Amino acid sequence: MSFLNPYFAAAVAAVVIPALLILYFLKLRRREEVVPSTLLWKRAVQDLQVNAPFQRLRKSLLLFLQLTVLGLAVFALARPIIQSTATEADRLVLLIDQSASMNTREADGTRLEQAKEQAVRLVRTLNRRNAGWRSFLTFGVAQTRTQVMVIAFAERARIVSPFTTNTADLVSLIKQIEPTDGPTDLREALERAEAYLAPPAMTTDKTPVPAASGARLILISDGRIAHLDDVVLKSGTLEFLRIGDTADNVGITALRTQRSYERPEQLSVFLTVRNFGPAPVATDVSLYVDGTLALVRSVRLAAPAAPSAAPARDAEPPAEEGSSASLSFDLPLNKAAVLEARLSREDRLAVDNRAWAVIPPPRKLRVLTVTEKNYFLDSVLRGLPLEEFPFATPAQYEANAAQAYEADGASRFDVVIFDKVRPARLPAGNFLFLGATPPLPGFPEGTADENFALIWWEETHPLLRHVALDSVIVAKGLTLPVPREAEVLIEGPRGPVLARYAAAGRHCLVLGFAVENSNWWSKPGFPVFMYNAIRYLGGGAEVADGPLRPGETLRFPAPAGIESLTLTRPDARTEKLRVDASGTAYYGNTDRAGVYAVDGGLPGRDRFAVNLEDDWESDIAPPPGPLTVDRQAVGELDAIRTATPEVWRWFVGAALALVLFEWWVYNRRVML
Amino acid sequence: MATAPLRKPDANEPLLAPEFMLKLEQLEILSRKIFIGRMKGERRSKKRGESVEFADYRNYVVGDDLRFLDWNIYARLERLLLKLFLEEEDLNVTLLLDTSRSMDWGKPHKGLYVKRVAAALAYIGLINYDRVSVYAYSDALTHEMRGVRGRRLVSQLIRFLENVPLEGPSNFTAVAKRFAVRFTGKGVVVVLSDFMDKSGYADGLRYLLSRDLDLYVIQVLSPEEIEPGLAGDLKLKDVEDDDLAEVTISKPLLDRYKANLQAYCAELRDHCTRRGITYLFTSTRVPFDTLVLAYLRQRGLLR
Repeated sequence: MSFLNPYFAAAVAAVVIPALLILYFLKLRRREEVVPSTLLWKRAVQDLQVNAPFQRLRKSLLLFLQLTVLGLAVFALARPIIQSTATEADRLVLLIDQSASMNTREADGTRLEQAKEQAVRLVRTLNRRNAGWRSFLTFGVAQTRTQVMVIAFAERARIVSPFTTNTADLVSLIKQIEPTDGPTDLREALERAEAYLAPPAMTTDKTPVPAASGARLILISDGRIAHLDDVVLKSGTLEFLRIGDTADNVGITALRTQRSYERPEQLSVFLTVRNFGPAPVATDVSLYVDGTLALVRSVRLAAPAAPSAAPARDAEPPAEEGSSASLSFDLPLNKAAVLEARLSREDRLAVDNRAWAVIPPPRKLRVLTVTEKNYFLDSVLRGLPLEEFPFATPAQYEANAAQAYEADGASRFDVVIFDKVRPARLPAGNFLFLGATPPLPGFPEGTADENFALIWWEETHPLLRHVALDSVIVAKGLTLPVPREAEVLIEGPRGPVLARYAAAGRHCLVLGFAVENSNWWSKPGFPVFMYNAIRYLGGGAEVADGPLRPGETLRFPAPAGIESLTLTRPDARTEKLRVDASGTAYYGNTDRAGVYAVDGGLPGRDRFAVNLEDDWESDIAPPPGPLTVDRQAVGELDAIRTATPEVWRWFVGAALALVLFEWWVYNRRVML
Repeated sequence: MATAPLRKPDANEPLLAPEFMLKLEQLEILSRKIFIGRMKGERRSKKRGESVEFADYRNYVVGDDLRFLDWNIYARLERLLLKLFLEEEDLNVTLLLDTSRSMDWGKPHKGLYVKRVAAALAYIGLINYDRVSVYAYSDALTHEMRGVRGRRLVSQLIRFLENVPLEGPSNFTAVAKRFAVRFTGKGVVVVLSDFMDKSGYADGLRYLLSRDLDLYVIQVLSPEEIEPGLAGDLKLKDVEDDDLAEVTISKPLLDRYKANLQAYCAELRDHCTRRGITYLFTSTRVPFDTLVLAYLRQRGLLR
């Protein structure tokens, strides 16, 4: 504890306390009362003085009480403040967690609000001594002032304020910290802090290089921090101020949608709901299509078997039996829509009670076949449920590959089949090569081979499901010199025959022989393989983006000629996005979960759903035990309880209580 | 709070009410000492005016008055025996009244109370043809009415009592010394005082005892002295000698005061009892007729 106004209070005390003492030692002006005889009174007084040593004390008890009251009042005048223990260092870094779990509603406000409040209280206890007009009382004695830096971090760290001593600025900046739905990663925050803490690399010979300063880093968080073991603390000391203590949360930890291949108007929704709270719960899971309730289902979830104390995020905490449920829904949806899943149960963390998915319109695949002439392919494709399957000769394809078959550097077709053709260039897209290799670096042409059977194939792979290759004899084919990262699915006697290879937006399936050069065309396995391959390649395009997490960058392709796009965030704010030279607008500030949509983007590519889908952040129960960073337990700071660090109220209150006590004592004294 | 002293409390009221006087007619003052002790004389023949009461015989010795020889005895026994008759003596009833300023106090008023008791005792004495003397004293014998005898002087005595002023400091020792010197007779002496005397009471009582008197001590205190209604920081001023005592009234102090008072009274009582003095304590709250009609009779002063 220290004082803001010590000199003023000392001056007041120097005046007031002697005044009280003088008043006390001045002869009491006694009321005169005539009595028949003072004989017995004098005796009584003498007796009391002789017999009761406490009488003097008793007399001075009032003085003592009054002195104490005065002292307390003077103390209050001195404006005592509670200084946190974090003030000794002259440089202090506040690391404020703004990740998704900090949105948990505690008894009063969210965890982030509490963290901000604590940060403000911490900051307010600093640099009070010398502030303002009172500084003249210190006769200009310079005191070391604590420089404070504030970093807010979720997945990314943001410097809210560099080192400063300006408390007012710090407070207003801290108050402007906004919640995000991102995961927690302390590493970047620490790196940024250390970048500021490190002594300047370049110094003039006049400037002394400050010794590694004892800066203190105070982490204000709920402790749900991933990868803590990876964090290395290079300089300074880290302390932890723990926020939050509730654990009640049920969250949607995964939402996936898929259109049925055969019936694209049928949408399958897969949903994982998990209970992180300490008690079993029941909740309704509702599906909304464009805001309209479509389906509701109830789900009961048991409490997790053990308190969630997974030490590291890498070991994804296994969902205990019963505490999570996977639900699948089928609903007809023959248009583009935004699907929203909601949990009806109110819990402490709201952000994971909703998840969104942007559903593309139902679409049949479009398959381009580049071949001279292939009857087998023609007949197989005819039997598949495709939107269209045009054929092009290699000459036609090469002639206007860029114009007719490509858009935005990507193939216009969902799948392109190259039959015995190695094209000169390959746009982004999905390709099936038959008897040829893709023109990709690291994928040289294969070595010719004749008359071999297939030795091994990956039976469980979706591509080869229900495909029998036992009796396939290849008359003429290639052994594929596949790159290391390719996935080999079929092997012949001298090497891979079928490989899946994805690189730079190109997803290739390379078969080492043409159909007609084998007896495969006569087997029932061939159309099944074609079905699997087209579905596999074509379906992949749809889910290529995968689920987006907060903090990931959105990429909005823009129609040609448009310079800027208007983005509407989930919190209804709008932002202008500039379209760059390649015709794409990027948006990286996806800190909240929800649907991000742009006006005037390419249809189908103008909306993205960002979901939390994070077991780690949804598990809001604060980790038990001390936080370990860099394999060392981190000391914990106590939360500052009072809103203002100044505690004069306590002293005034105590003084009031003492006044009451004094009144009582006085009354007792004169009581008959 | 303390009550202001009442200067003339119910001054219009006579000291003795007529109906009370009627009750007093039945009473007479006893001297226990003379009965039990000296056997020197008795006052039973006061109506006859002379002593005829036989007391005892003794042998004749030469020089005795032949008139008192019992000739009947001589006739029967042929011995000369002298008849001894009881000496006829009227009873001296002496009332010593403390009329110092401290008696001018209290509610009911101490001085008035004392005067009333004195008037009642004097009245009883007068109607029984005792020789009644009333002395008022403060630091000396200030007023006196000596040797009053006979019913006709009742009104005069009461007027005297009414007119005695309550003033001056008290000095019982000096008064008792002076009284012992001046008072030659024997009889009943009743001291009426509050005995709040800084010079003490022991010496004074000893002076009185030296005169071989039948002593009665009646201590009269007002309720305000027994249960003081004071509070706060006070400068207590003695009404007699302007002595100051600075006190802060607290419960312990009050308790101590009461304990002291009790001890003081007990000490006085013991002092008296040990010396054959009849002691009676009364608060002015006790109706004085009750005191006279009941308590004083119990104590044997009245019959």
